[in-house]
Parts: sequence; structure tokens; C-alpha cells
Amino acid sequence: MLDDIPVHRPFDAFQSFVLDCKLFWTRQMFPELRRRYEDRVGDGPRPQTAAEVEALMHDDTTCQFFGWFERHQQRMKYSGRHGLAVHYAQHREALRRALSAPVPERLLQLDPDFRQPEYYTSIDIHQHPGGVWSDEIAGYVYERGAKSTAPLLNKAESLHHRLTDEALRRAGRPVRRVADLGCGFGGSTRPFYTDHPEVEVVGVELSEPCLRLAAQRAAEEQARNVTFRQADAAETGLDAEAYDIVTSTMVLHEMPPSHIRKVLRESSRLLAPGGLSIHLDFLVRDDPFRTFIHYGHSQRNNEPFMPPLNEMDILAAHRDAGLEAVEIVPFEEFPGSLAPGNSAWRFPWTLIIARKAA
Amino acid sequence: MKHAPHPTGLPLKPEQTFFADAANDRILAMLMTVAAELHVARDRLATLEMVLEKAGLLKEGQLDTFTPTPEQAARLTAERQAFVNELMLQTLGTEVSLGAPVEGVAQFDRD
Repeated sequence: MLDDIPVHRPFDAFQSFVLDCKLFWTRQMFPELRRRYEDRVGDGPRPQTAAEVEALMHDDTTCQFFGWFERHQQRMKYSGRHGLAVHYAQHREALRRALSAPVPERLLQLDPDFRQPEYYTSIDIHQHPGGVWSDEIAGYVYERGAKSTAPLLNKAESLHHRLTDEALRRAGRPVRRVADLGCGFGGSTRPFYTDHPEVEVVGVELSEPCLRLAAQRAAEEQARNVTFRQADAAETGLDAEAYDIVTSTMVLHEMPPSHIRKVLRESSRLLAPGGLSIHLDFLVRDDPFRTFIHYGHSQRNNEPFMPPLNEMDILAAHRDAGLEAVEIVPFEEFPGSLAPGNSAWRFPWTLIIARKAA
Repeated sequence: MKHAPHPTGLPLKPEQTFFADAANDRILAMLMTVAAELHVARDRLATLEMVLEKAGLLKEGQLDTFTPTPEQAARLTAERQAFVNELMLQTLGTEVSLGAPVEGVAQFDRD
């Protein structure tokens, strides 16, 4: 039922146009911006910080266009008469019925008294009007929108499976229970419950609309080994020392550092001795230009906690939470993405890995 | 006409701009809206051709090789010329309504 929304050709054509513009932006405008940056640097001193890159490039016309297109392509994707939010609102009744269809009880645990944290409700992340929490169909809209966030990436077939494989490999022992913090509509949870039936996985998420969609998707798969639970990743209410892996995907950068520290403490509490903490997020190291691009994205995409995450002492935060052997590892989100020849724009995907003492 | 009210009711932030003059940001937004709508119209036209072809009312390439009759050609020419005139007139900066005199309106302030 969720995938039975009638085709509307003008909507599809508009969204395809915006996506093609974003592909141009990704593959051609970004490399051109980098080339112009190198030209401006020339033989002079190389900028050492994002602020110095900003000072060098702020009046560059291509740089201005690059920023404009990043913000407004996303605005066009979500808003306006052909935007995702408006388009799917026209199918609200059908989506409401589909999202509230009965699912096996174990799949979904909602908390009617749950209160969202203020940092989360004050900012429309991804320029999604009302965020991913305030509208009953917001999870569905978010799922549709996520398909074109990083246009070179096929999340369903690539990124989430790659992280799942990496986590299970690094666990170094049979994995029975996994906690996926900030699971959204369950994209990151799915490979665990579909490909590894021996694993019990719980997805923890703030947004009820996302959780309802995640449960419906799991019901479609007839999954028996997953639960989607409404809770803050900093206070999950799950059993202590019961999980072999605690993971998250693109979650830490959506919260302030104080909350990240709480999430890491909660991760430590949840992990069994020797358990693996593995978070996939965005960190830039030793590349002022990439940092400038990343911080700009943060501002343009309404994700203002990216710079604080990048600048906090994430290693110390893990150690303070009781997690050790912390590693920062670049993550190849699709084959070849880290190759020097890949000049296209990409997120600075990074794994932050640690372990609880055995 | 206004944008739809924000779902949360919270106040919106100031405009985020990228060019020295915010007018450029807004003109580019208008241009991209028009470009996207142009694509929607082109897509619809192509779709229409496909539907007509499937129904046997149009052969592939028939529109590209279409030769109008003299009457049809005159109609197409008139449409094109009207469009071009409307478009190119804007380049001249010619006013189309009577504004206030450049020297001010004191001349009208008399008994």
C-alpha cells in the first residue's frame, strides 16, 4: 500500500530535473570549484582553516553558485507545488491508512508520553518543512527524499549493507543483539534484520512518523528479529550490557556535543563487555577546503551541528564514556569513492569505532 | 499568495543568500523555477507524442518532419512573432504606463 501512490508525471519530471541538476553540481560544479580554489591558492600560502578558505573564495562566482545550488536544489526538492512535502500531502489519507495498518506487536514500541528534545524540534533538518517528526507522513517524505541526498549513492544496495558487514566483521565474535541508534525509517536497520536472521536488532528513534514507516517496511519483509522503539538515543530504556554492537548512521551530526556525550555514555551502558561501538558519520581531517565545503553544507542544509561534531574531541568523549581503542577510519560508501580519481562531491564519510573493555 | 504556514508555527529565519546582491539570489530562484517548469512541459509534450503514437494517431518523427500548409504556416509564424516581440520588447526598457514626471509633481500644485 505504501508504494501504491499514483504516478504523477509532472511531479516525477520536476523531481528528475532537480536531481539531474544536483548530479551536475556533484560531478562538474564541485570539481570546477576545487580547480578554481587551487588556481587562487597558486604559489601562495595554502589556507590552513575553513575560515581562511572562505576568505579566499567568498567572492568567487562559481563558489557563490555552488552554495546557491546546494541550498536551493534541496529547497526545490522538498517545497513548492512539485516538492516532496506538498506532493505527498495530497495523498495523506492513503498514506495515513498505510502507515497505521496493524503490524505484529513486537515490531513497534511507541511512547505516547515521549517529548522531543528542543534541539531537534527547533530546526528543520535537510530543509524538510516541519522536520521529520511533526507530520504523520514526514517519515515517508523523508524516505523519498533520502533517495537523492547523495546522488552517486545507492543506499539500499551499498552504504547500509557495507556498514552492516563492517560492524559484524569487526565485532570479532558471534553477534546476537544489535542496537541501531537514531534509526530513522529503518534504512540502516534493514540489512541486520533481513540478511542476518540470527541477530536480534532494535532500532531506536525519536520520530514517530519514521518509526511507523520502519515498522511497516519490516512487516513487508515479515521480519521477526527487529523492534522499532521510540526513545532518545541518550536514554533508550534498553537493558544494560545486553548488546554486542551499538551503531548509528548519520546521527551524531544531528545533535549538539553535550547530547553526543550522553549517547556515547548510553552506548557504553548498553554494550556487553567487549562489545563494539561503531558510528558512521562525517568528519573532515587535514583538508581545509573539504572542511569549508562541509561546514557550508551544514549551514545550507539546516544541519548546524556538523561543525561542533567535527571540532569536538570525539576520542576523549568516547574514553570518558568508558569506551576504548577508539579509531577514526575513512569509510568507502561505494566502491571507488575514496580513490584519488574520484573528483565528485561526497560527504566525508567516517567510521568512529570503539570497544567496551572485556 | 503566500507560502504555506510552517507546520510548527515557529518563526522562520532570515533569507540565506549567496550573492552580493540578494536580487541575484531571487532571480536565480525564479529562473530555476521556470527551467524546471519548462522541463515539466517538455516532458508532457514528449509523453503526449508517445501516447498518440501508441494510439496510431501519430507516427514516430511525424512532428519533426511536419510541413504546415500555408494557412498553418501563417498561424505558426504569427504565434512566433508575437512571442518574440513580447520577449524582446523587454530589452528596450520602455515604460508602458504614465509615471510621475521626472521633474516632480510641483507643476500640478496650482490653484
